[in-house]
Amino acid sequence: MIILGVSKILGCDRLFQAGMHQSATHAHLSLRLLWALEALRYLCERRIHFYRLPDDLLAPEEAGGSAADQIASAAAIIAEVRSRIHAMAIRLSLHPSPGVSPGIADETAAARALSFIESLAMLLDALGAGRESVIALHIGGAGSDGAAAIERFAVRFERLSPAAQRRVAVEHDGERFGLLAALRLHQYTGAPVVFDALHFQLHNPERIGLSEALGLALATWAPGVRPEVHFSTQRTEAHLKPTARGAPQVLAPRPGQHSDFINPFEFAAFLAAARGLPPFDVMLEAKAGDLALLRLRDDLRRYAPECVGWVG
Amino acid sequence: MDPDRSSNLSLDDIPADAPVLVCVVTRPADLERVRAERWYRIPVGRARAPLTASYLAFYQTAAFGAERWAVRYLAAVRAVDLAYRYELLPDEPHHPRAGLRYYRFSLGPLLRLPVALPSRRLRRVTFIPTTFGQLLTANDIVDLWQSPVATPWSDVWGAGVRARWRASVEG
Repeated sequence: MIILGVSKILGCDRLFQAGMHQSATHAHLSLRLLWALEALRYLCERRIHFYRLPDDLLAPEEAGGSAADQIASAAAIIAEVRSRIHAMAIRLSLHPSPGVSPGIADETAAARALSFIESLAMLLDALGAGRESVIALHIGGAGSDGAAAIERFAVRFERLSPAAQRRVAVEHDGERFGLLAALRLHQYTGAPVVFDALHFQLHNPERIGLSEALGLALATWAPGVRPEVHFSTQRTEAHLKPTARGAPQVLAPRPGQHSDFINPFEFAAFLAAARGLPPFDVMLEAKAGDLALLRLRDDLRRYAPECVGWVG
Repeated sequence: MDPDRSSNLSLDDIPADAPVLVCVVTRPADLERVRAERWYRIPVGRARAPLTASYLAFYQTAAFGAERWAVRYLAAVRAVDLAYRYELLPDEPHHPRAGLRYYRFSLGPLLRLPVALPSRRLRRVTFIPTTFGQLLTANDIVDLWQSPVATPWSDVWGAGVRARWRASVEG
């Protein structure tokens, strides 16, 4: 069965507000994890067993001290979360912002990125997250020299600790680095490839078929580790930008912008393309987070009942 | 009891949407501990309300004499830890709940609300999740259960979730 995951929780307003408030005030790791405990409880009540943790659970070093110190100071709550994760059988993942990319040209920014990846890996290890809990990274870098960015990524990957290397996964993007670029990095580093269905639609210069592309990405994961796949659908609605006064500004959707909910017909077609491939889990990247997942379950029941037993 | 003056934090610094959890304090010694030692305990698994509040406010029961049946103080939550009751209160080793685990919230200085929030009729108060804005505008503790001002959902979906984040952070 494919486990569906979410990257945000909108169905519980208090949880949403508390998370935003904690994030804005760089709350102590112990408090962020108490929030995470409640988030996991909320998700499990809705049979959602795959969650992308916020990447700001650890406060910035200038506000909260080193990652090791923050983790040590939250030891008791970490132990509690660890046991709940185990009891709830929940899969975790992380996907830092696109700026956290080992392939970026600027050395200072790259050093910051590597340090951040180390701290996230340390946190996942402390939480006892399984091998399938990865930190999905984009290749990064700007300009036309993609080969140089890939090389920078591979070289800097070697600078990471073995613990951090074990957590890193590479995700192709929708503009510069297609699936083959990510597969090349897998060859250099051994890092598995996270397949992203929308990015694949946006940028597939080699014109590979969906089933083949998905199969290539899934094959990069170690035996016994369920791959992570990202799925979202292109937003087609206008974007209303609030203005200080008067009516909101109407903007057309950007290419690659996630829709609020998941188009069930696209998802069913994706599942059809995945038939016969190794099992994997799907992180839904929809703006409506958990609400989109719950809606997708209902939609599949109605429009694609043959998929229902396949998706959890 | 006077609020601690040693911190720069004032009520003006607290955003209206800051999550607050109203807790019940039944013993003056516990509120004194909040003021002097800056921590408060909540039994693990006992509180059904979400505990992820940025502030704890304290409803004082009949044991507080003239200050009874009202919320007068709150404090910022700094960190949380877990401990057994006998570890937190070593002077009470034979308490019936001595062997239970508690969340131990480390707190900032106690702040006094400009106007105490009374409970005119309700006496059996439990944990109440609310916001600082509601705490300031409520006339009675029962008002805390009212939903906050409705979120502009059309903007949320039209502009994406980030708009909602901006609204909550920038006020």
